[in-house]
Amino acid sequence: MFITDKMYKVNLFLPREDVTRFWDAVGRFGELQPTELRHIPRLARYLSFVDLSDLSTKLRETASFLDIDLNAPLDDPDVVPLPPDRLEGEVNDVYSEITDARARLQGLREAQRSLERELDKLTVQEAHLRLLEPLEVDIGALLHLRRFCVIAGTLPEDHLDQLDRSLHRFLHALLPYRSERHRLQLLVVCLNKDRKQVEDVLESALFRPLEIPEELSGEPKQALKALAAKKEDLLEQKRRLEDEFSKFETWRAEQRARLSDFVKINATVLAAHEQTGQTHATALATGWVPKRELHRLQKLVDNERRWVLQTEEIPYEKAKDEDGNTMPSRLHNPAFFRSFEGLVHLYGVPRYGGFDPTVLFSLSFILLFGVMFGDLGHGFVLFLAGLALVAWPGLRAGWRRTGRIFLTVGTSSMVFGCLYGSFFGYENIIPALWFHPINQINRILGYSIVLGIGIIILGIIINIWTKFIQRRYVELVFERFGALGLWFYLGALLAVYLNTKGVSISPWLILVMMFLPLFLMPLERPLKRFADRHKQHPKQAEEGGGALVTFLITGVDIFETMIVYLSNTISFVRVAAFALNHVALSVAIFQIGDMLRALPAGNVFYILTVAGGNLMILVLEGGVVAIQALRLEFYEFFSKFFEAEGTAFAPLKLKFKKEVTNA
Amino acid sequence: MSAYLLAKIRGKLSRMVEDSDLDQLVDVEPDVIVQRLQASSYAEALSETWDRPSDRLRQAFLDDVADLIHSLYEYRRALLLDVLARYRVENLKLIIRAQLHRIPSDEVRGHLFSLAWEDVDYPQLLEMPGLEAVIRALPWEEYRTRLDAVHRQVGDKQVAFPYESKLDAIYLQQLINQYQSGPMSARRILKNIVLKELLSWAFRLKGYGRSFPELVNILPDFRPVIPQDEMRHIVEDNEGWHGIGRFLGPELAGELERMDKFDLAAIEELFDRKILKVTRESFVMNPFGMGVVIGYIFIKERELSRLIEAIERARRRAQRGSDVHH
Repeated sequence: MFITDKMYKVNLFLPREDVTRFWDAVGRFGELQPTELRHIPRLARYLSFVDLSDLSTKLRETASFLDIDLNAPLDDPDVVPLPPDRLEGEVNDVYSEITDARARLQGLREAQRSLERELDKLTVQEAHLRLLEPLEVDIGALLHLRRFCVIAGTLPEDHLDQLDRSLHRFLHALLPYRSERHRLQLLVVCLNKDRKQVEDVLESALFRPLEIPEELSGEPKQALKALAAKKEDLLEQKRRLEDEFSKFETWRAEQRARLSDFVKINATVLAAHEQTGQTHATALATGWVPKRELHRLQKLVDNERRWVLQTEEIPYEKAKDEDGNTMPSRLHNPAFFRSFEGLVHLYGVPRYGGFDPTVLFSLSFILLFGVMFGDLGHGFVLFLAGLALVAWPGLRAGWRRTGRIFLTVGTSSMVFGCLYGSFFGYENIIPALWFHPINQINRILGYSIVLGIGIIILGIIINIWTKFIQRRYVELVFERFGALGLWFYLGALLAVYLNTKGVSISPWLILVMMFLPLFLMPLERPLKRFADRHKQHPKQAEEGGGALVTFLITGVDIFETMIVYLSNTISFVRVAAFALNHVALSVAIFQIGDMLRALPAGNVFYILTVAGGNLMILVLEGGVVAIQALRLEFYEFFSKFFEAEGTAFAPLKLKFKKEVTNA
Repeated sequence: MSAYLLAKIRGKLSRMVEDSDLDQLVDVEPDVIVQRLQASSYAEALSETWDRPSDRLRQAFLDDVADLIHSLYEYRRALLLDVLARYRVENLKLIIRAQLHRIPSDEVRGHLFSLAWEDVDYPQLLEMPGLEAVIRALPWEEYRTRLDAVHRQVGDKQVAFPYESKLDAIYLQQLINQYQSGPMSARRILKNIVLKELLSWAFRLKGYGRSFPELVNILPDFRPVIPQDEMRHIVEDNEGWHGIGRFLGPELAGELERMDKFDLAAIEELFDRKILKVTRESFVMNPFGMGVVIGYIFIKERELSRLIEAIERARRRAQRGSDVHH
């Protein structure tokens, strides 16, 4: 629970023809993370690999076209993957169907686009003709005069004067007949011989000519009727096209239902198959399995007479295996704490053999949140919100996890609300089972520092324990947060405590309690260099600078260690600050409410202010408190021991709907 | 206007780089430029990395100017803001180009000026989905309606010119309006600034093959500073550019007359000298007027552009040197 699962490296030897069946079995077993054998030169040079990329691509394209989520659980538990030689024929058939369907869809889309373009053009023409509607003239005759040309269009209102000035050397007339949305609708009349120049000038004046079909004749009203008929015809075509689309979508849904499991299982197994190395008759698959699941894999292999399993335990002190692959870290926490794993992963994944802080993180996060946001009413609202998220049907797993976090922090907030006697900011409705923080500020400050000291000491102890498990003894003793660090911290705390009690301490005792461990800490570097002397390059071993540099670094390190411990401890004052802040904010809201009470209908204002203020506290302060609790965990707790250098364990797993529902 | 503000400007003027010093920055190494500018107000902007020095110098100038705005009120402040709208326009042009050509906002963001006196989040405009949304989000109604008119005209075409010319026209129109109704003390400087901008723009448009009637539509309504027929004569007729001499005064007009052929850069330089002359007069004749502020900004911008030119040349030379070395 506290240390990542012990992992075994496994090599599986099996007949070539069993590879597909093997990965199917492993997928159902669900606890083996395959390694990429192709990238292990030590083994890859003796093996051959089947190139299945073409098949794999076709399957993925099919999934994409049919909108199949390859990570979604499978429906039918009896579905089995096909070996590549048989799969190829099936996939080719499906893929050719999909290619045809894609071409059909493309044709439909092109037809739709072309229809829409036609309709757009018609709409523009119609709109332009409507602009000419007030003119009761034959458009055909108007647009095709022998000596004069008439150009209809629109122009920004304030450009009319400028346009008139710019055309002063051409014989022209500007005839505005309507204004709409800052644009004038107008007819420009000029001589046919000047048309080209006038059009250039019009363009520079931001004149926009109307699009009127050349073939139109008669008055605008008649022309509009002709356009309406044409539009109706296009709309009918569009409706037919929509029917086609709907039929196509029905076909696609049928194909999705038919092929979903086939595509999912074969795509998953094929990806693993590609990583399987082969010799003339035998195949080799490698991967990692957690120790606690190894017996199941052993049983699975024992049932197959021709499969051979070779295993190797990887000790915790190794973060990487002999081929340089980072060992995956598998967390194993009780169901109650799994919701908090996401928050821990925000910081990183612990290295293999590292401490998994999820349980301690969850407990301390819940505690810190409650201390900082202790209010029976607000906690109850958070609890209800959590309940709603957990019980709401159809919500994704992520929301449910968030709901469970809300439930726990809400409960903690309620408990501390009872201890503080706070209910929706009112300090006088329920009795305080412990004390009101606002009345005993020094007390809450003291408790928060004590809480902080506890968390810091816990962090150091975890670090010592982890280094012990990983057999990193030099770091265990000499590291800033190792045994010497703990000695210094406890010594400093004791000195401060005795000083506050008025006990005089001899300077020699202070030297031993506080400063001796600090002076011993710098030995870490030379000792490590000595311990690793065989692994280092001779030149590297000589590096390290002169005596002065070493002395300076040591001095700075000692000073920094003292500062870090002091600042880390003081940092926990914020816990008390937020507990007080909660009361202070509530008091401010009640005072504003009381001021508004003096107004006419003051009670209504009072209720609105108090309700709105409470909502603000819940959202704003609740959010800030959560962030601060997280900050304290990450910087004051995790920084003592957490080495976020790991990668998460990602086994090959075939999920089935039935299992997911049961889970 | 407050004596405090004027004292501040006098102080700033005293920290400016001498013309002779600027001349000495030509053809020297980047390090030497930084060294020689140690005593100037640019020292801080050049003190860190040698990364986009032009942008940083301009930004330093804008931060320096922002300081003046808070000491001005009502129409004086409006005048200064209209003069500084050039940088708003430059920002908007950049945003429009980025939106039209889908340039990733990360590449553009660093080149936007941060204008402390404007409550506009320019980087946010880069993130908006399309030009239409950008135009809708602009807080100035005039910019909104005019750019919207351009947008309707341009549609989906990826051309920036109509937007850019409209932005320049809005800016220049603001200066023309200020020339008509702003404080007397700044009018002469404003008129010359407007004339310089207007004429150089008109000649450039002509160079791109635009006819005079088209030009009338693109430029702002310039009639308050120059009658339309005179403008047409100057721009359209082959020898019309000699007519510019009327705006330059007898001494500079003589220099213009002696020019063999039309040279836009030389004409701009003549206008700059005219503006400097008018500014100096304004400092003496009306030492408490807005002319001092506008004049200071002009002088400072001129100094800045010369400095940036020297720096960019030095950078290019250094770059070439390093390429050859490799």
